[in-house]
Amino acid sequence: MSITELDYNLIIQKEKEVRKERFKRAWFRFKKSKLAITGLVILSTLLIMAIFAEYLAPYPEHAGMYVNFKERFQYISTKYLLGTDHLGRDIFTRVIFGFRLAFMMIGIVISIVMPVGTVLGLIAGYYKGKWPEHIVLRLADMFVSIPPLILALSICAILEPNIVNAMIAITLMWWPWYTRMVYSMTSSIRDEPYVWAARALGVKDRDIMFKEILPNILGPILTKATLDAAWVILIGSAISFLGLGAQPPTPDLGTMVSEYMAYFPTYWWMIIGPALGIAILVMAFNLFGDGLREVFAGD
Amino acid sequence: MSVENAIQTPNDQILLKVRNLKKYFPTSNGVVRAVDDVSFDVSKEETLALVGESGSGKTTVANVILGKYVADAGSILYKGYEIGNIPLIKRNLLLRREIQVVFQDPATSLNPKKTVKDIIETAINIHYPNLNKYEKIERLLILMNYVGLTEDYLFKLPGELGGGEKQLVAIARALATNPTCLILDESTSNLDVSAQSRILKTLLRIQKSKNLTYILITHDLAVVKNISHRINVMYLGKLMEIASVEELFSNPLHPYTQMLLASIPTISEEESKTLPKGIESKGEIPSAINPPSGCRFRTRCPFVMNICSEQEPILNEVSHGHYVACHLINNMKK
Amino acid sequence: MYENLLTVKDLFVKYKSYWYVYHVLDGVSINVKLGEKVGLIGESGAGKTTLLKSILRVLPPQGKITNGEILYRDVNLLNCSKQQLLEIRRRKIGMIFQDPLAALNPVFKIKEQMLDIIKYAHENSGMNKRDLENIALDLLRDTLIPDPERVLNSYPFELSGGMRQRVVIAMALASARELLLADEPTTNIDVTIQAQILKLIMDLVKKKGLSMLLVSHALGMVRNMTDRIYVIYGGNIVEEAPTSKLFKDPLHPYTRLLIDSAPKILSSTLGEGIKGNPVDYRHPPSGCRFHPRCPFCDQEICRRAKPPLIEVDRDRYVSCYLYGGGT
Repeated sequence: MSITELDYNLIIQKEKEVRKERFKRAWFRFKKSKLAITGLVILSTLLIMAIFAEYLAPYPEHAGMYVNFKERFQYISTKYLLGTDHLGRDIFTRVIFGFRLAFMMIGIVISIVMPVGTVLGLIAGYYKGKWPEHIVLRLADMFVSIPPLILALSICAILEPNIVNAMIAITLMWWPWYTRMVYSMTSSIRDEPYVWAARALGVKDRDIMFKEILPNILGPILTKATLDAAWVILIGSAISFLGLGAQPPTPDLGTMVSEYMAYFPTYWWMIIGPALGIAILVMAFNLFGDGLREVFAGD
Repeated sequence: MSVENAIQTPNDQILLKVRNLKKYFPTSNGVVRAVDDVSFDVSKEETLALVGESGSGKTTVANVILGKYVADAGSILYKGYEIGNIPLIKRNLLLRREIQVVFQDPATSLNPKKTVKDIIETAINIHYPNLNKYEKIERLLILMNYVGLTEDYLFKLPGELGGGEKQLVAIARALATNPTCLILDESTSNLDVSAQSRILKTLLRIQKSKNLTYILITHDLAVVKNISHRINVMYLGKLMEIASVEELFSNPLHPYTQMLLASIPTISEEESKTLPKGIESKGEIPSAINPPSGCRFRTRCPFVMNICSEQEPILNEVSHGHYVACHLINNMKK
Repeated sequence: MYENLLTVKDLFVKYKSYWYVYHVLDGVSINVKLGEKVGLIGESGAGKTTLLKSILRVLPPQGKITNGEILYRDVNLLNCSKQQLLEIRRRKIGMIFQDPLAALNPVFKIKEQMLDIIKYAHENSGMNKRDLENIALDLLRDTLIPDPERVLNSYPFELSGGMRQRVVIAMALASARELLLADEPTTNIDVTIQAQILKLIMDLVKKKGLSMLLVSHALGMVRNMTDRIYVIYGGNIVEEAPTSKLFKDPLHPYTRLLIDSAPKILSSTLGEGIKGNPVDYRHPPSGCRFHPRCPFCDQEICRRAKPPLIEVDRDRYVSCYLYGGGT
């Protein structure tokens, strides 16, 4: 038996087809869950709105420094879909820009926290009983031992209160949870016979971690990331609400809620826009995450 | 006659020489003497079965050979090189290539997220990195063909395979390095009989054509009878009897061996007749933390004598290639 | 002759998962007569455990009995009152589970677990705790367990595998006054201990005059313990025969191949095994469920219609067109 280029290409071709087929099946599974699709549709709508905020928002200039006292405290109308605030800015516009900020925050926090937490967790789990485990876990314990919101608040309080520092705070409080989750999964998988077989073959430690163990825990990690996205918004909003995150006039959903709270009993509609915005975003991420879990769980 | 001189395998072609091997595990209740002074040889191209109940130390012996544990005392000479004190992470690729393993549970011995192709390719990539991509695929297909898997299986995930097929993939992966010695750690005990006989047949065929040496660890004596050449019977970390398969089944000397044989559930009258009578299984294997003094089997032995608790019986050759560690047999010989 | 103690008639069981429907039991009929020891052999995934669970009505919620009848004496277990079902579970039928470690709750002492069962088995008999404890001790003594008093006050993890299985047997006997169901009672147990446990079960069944339904994939074990055997493949009973006849002269191709592939200690020739994989219950084969793996399948009818279980000899039933039953 000798392999020609043709045979080889046929095999590679077949492999691609099988991969495509598997992906199709996973998509089919995801599709069957109505809630997950709802989550995905809402998320992509919000994302598109956030990306094209300048073109979609009725009054883009209202997002930043803008004052028009003549039109302040307007009730919901066709001109101002969610009314105007105490400075006469269109709340609908500000909510759309708020989504943009929220997505940016999620994107940055998750894209730092997930890989860092995962890699540290893999290392700690794989070298169980050796020094890397102790260092990583004790470090994680230090961060975990402080209640997350208080940790974030204290970091924000030490640093200057702005959106970048809020993200730093969230990132710092978040990574140990990933590390601990990945650590516990890795340390049980590393004793599986297939990992032992790889070691007996002489596979490098790095390859065992990333090629043998990681694919088996990727599902839970991604699911956690989507479910956590919702938490990032909530925590971010909480920090902003307490005045330690984004500062006015930044159109941050949490800051807006906190600002508009002052006018709540009289001009109650002001708070509806940002509050509903946070609720919808959080719900959409949760629905989507549940759908992902279904896909990864298999049948 | 010392043990060193006593244990001579039928031919001189010795692949693996295990001498006075000890492996203790400290626990909170005391030291578990998993393997306690065991010596035996494995010759080239033979199948040596390590037989015993769970707790007899047979898996520990295999794991020391494999490098999962380091020996506490004694030596393991592989082709004349000492490997008993080299843990797996310190072993070089050449040594790893020589000794490969097939695990018990096919459900967990293959990575559930990798296709059959990826699983076998990993092994080829490590041990034959210089092959070009065509040669690698060719090798992969040859290996699969070898264990009797067609090209249709290339892109299947372990979850889509039956238990027997999974075990075939595991064998193909082990063969990818071109090993000399294959450790079969209860490789067929989790399978149904119909799949089991297919695996055993495949193993026999491969052994013949590749001149492999097998170390078979099992508690199923019927399987042993069918594929191995020699048997080491272990009990509580000690060797009780060494003999060829024919000899052990026709003339089992140690009471423990007889007990094991009498316990085999048979599937025909003729088979029941060939098994030893008058000895019945009783008791359970004691803890290896405080093993009985003298002969370790004495607590369950129906022929126990005074000397058994005082003195440990040594492994004596009773006939050519048949060794027994039992005072009863030693006395009869005198 | 004997009176029928347990009769299962034409039982169909399906499992539903989110994505698929698994058609597991496909018209299974068996019976156990009074004082009889019946074996059920088949490979893993043949539907053996599902059948036992159906008999005790303990199928998981996704399992549904879609058709059939399960009679215990003259009580139909599928539509009897809850009280009758409990009565039968508590005082008539006992079950020995496969994994003794999983069958015992790790956080309770053996005493508490046994008394729970004995309490119900002797409901309304006016016994106090002392009496119940004595019953527990007697049951443990029956299993020849060394030092029953100590065992009673131990946690499951303090006992060895063999001892745990003895405790599980004692617990089964507490409620088994008529019928003992045994699901693979010796998997994961060493051969020597296995021999002891099997002998113990045999002695106890004889001493207490129980009937037994033994479910296993271990051919040798079933041969040594039963009078009559059902062979189950893919949710179908394919053969029924007295034990000695079945092993001497198996009829159904599946039974033949199964017995042939068991490793023998007399000859050193290995059987061929059975090609292919067990039945995929999501899409079970049409007609005879064994036909895709059967070396003798050359008739169109095997693929078209399920062969009926026909009597080919005295007490011997086979479901295969090789022995007639076709048109």
